Amino acid sequence: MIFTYFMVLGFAMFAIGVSGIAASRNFLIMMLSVEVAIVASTIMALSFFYFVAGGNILLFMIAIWSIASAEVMVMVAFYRYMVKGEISMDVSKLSKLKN
Amino acid sequence: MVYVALFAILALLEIVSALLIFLFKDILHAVIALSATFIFNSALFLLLGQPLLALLQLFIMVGGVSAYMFVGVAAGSYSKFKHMNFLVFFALIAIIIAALYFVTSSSTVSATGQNLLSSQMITDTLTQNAGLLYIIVAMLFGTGIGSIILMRKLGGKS
Repeated sequence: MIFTYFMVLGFAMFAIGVSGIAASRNFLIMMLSVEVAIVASTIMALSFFYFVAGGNILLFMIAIWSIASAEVMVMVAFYRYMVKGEISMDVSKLSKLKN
Repeated sequence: MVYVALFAILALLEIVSALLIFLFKDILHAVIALSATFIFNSALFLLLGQPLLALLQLFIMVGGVSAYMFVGVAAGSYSKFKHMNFLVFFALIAIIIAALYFVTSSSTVSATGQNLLSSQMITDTLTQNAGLLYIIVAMLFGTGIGSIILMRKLGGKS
């Protein structure tokens, strides 16, 4: 039963993250939603390893954390660029890939 | 019973703090809400009996990622732009939860209550996969340097 609770919490967090990406048009909010989805993945991974699979989760978690850190680095770089260039945070206006 | 009550409180706090990211108007408050989400997540790790993972989660996500976000995003300039269709947002949440629960509800698993990380296992992981850890560090370093170079190349008005 507890496993179900943890998985449902993970689903809820993942749903919040994915819905944030899909429903928002603000670049920053989309990136923060990716972080929420990553948090959900940690919850689901830990509960799965704890209740079902067993074994070594440390490497798996390190991989998740490194992905989250890299994503934040790229997000901050793009955000600073957009602020500097006075580019709108509305991603629907970012239609040009070049120049 | 206490365990379930603790779980319920922490889960509720985590979900509320995750939703607050989208409800706050100011990006600084949104980043604070995200930090709170990380903190409650690490508390849930503690509830599962994994203190090392909880500490690492705190160090990396709150101490590293959130602090970097504070410095890089929130401290620079505040973004007032907010555009979101909340009806679509909550409908999507309901649909995704329903879909995921439908897919996984048939699986029958039993709780084992095992200790995931013994000291021997931690030592083995760190020694046998040292090369992999260095590759991860190099990847992160390359991402950091690359993002700075990209930002400088792209330029922009200052």
